[in-house]
Amino acid sequence: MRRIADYELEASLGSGNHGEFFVARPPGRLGLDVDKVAVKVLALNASDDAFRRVGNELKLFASVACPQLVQLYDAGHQGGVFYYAMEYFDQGSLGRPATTPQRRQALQAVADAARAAHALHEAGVAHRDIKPANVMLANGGGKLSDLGLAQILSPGQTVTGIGPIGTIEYMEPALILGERAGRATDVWALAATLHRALSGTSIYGAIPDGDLLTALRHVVQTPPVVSDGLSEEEASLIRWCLAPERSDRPATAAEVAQHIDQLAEAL
Amino acid sequence: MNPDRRLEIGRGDGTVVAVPGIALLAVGDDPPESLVEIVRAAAETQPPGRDLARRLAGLLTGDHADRVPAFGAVAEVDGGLLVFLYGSVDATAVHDDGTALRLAGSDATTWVDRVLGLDHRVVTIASEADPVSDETPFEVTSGIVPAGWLRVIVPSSAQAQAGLRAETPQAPAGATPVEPAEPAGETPVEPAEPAEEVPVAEEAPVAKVAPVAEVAPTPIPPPRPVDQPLDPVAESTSPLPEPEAAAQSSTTEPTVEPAEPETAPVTPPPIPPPPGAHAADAPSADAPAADAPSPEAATAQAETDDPPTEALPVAFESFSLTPDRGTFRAPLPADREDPTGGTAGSDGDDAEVPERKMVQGIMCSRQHFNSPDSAFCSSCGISMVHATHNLVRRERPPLGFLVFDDGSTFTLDDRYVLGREPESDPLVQSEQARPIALEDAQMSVSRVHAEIQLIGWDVQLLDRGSTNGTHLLNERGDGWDRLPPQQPRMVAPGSRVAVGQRTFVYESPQRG
Repeated sequence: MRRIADYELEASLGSGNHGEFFVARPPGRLGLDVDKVAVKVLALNASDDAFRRVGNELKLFASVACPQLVQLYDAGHQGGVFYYAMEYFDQGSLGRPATTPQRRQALQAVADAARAAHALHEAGVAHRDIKPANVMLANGGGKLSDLGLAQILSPGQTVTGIGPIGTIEYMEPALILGERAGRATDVWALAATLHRALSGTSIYGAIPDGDLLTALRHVVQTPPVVSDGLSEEEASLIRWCLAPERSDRPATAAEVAQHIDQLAEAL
Repeated sequence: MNPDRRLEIGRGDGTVVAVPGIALLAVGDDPPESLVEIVRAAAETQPPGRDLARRLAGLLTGDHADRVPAFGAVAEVDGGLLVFLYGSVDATAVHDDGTALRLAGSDATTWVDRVLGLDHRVVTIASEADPVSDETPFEVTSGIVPAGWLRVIVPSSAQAQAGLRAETPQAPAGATPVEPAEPAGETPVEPAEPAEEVPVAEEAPVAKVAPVAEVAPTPIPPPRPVDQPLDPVAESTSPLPEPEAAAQSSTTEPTVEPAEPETAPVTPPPIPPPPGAHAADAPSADAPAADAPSPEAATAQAETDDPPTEALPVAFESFSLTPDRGTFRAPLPADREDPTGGTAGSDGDDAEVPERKMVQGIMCSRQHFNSPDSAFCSSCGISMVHATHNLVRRERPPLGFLVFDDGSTFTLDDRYVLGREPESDPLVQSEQARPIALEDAQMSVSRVHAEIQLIGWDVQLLDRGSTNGTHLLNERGDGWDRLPPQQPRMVAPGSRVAVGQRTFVYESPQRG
């Protein structure tokens, strides 16, 4: 893969849940004053209907004006392959940082991602794929990138099977079991992301990574456990967001952001 | 056709349908609307050739195939031209080296589907009964025009153009397309990476490409050999070893019919590559690659007089990110406890959310809705033994999920049609079921292969008359039971199912 549309793809940034991210030079037609963009190339040949739905979702994403949301520059398809171009971050993400962020920046990055998620929710969009790899590091804080498109690509689909098995660590189990995505889905994922960023461990202990079915069973059947390595304040916020009943969690992602801000200030 | 191509037509008893990237000649003066629709729909994908071939194959295997007249089409594909012939229609393709390749639709029992490299400069399609006339041809761009033959001319070949100079078109009055097609929305920009152009050998037999699963002479056995016990350690090729499958299937008592050993393939032979499977997926894979022009040859074109060999620019469409009017959504609702059960916090895209059926069930002591037969709550795991068994009527919660061998996972809150092209099924088209498209290199999956239905609290599996069958792993886990076609069978949580060579497991949150 060296090109898609008029993008020169320079290097892979890793696989996500429905495609691969590349760093690329932006084509002149976009009139951007940046020399790099992140281009996601979807790994599937989708139907015309799926293209339309993905297009609608990305348009809504692009219409949300929120400084903590990664900018979407362009989207399209070529020869049956869908692609979209977004802001590129040379500091990497919480999942793959250029240099390991300090605890304070990790907290602020997740708080920023929560603000971005809230902005999406207010526009009627559930992100569905909040995870460290989608929390980009920038300006001492973070920006939320990408969207979970499994359900958009094929209605009823919760996992595409394309990305690494480990990413189900951040997925609300109710979503696997078929509940519709909502605010609480992303609140759960923000907490699982925060837990990973602060403790370096999963809320499920070791997730078996041999095959997806075993991993899904583990995640669906194992109640989440918060690491001993966290402060009492951090642990209680995460437990709140991971409450089994959706209505017992913080009502909005904005509320989650405020509480993480307080944790960061207390450092 | 592509703006770089020239499309010429001549008089005769047929109709030419021309849209960007496609030219089709149908015998007779009244091509059915279905054929015209397919051409228009395929042109929305550029290059349209592959999509066109799939749609035409669907039409020709569909219920109204007998109403389709003989036709021939030329369409752009990446790095070449598709020639698709059905019935008494011929194609002649003139190669750069002056040789000609002749294809005849009547040489195939189904149809001819062939990709020609771009070193074929002139492709002519004519009815067998109505050969190419000598008169000066008309040149058209798009529309539906009465015509007896069509000719697509790929430009910038010195040889091919030399041979055609005598026919330089002079469009006579009245040759204007009667019904211009919609203009293509995309602009081809610079070429994508030079696709390796693979010329098709002249002597290669005409590929008769049919949807192979439907015509495969030997049914392909289900994936796991019956004479091998389930052994997750030895199962290196399958990502989903299922040691617990048989054990879990006893948690619910399904009305499983006794195994039918005579229908289960006993010692499955190694899977033969179905005839034509390669031709359907990669038409030029077996063509002599040594003849492929190198990309360097393409860049050297400006300096030499050699016929250029650059690949077609693959058009891309980059769309505006401004949301369409009316697509803005209301904010996501709050996730509060919902007395009707299940719908709290639903996503904004209602079009994709199925309406849930109402079913009777019982509530656990924490007010989760469950099947009347549950021993434990499927949401919180609490024992249902002491719950009051008052039946209540609520929206049915999802009944679990399906995990496929490629890791894709689907939630069971709706009916599904499984197959190679499930979108072609009327149930999917009428939105009574969702599609699950199963790709399968071995072509063991039929276009519409199987169906998953939710009946009350049960999950039922139905074979839709597939060629290679829908199989259920038996309770001992050592053999596959083939489902009789069109007869639904209840499947228990933990069941493993083979759809042709593809497999999935039905998982349910039942805690035992």
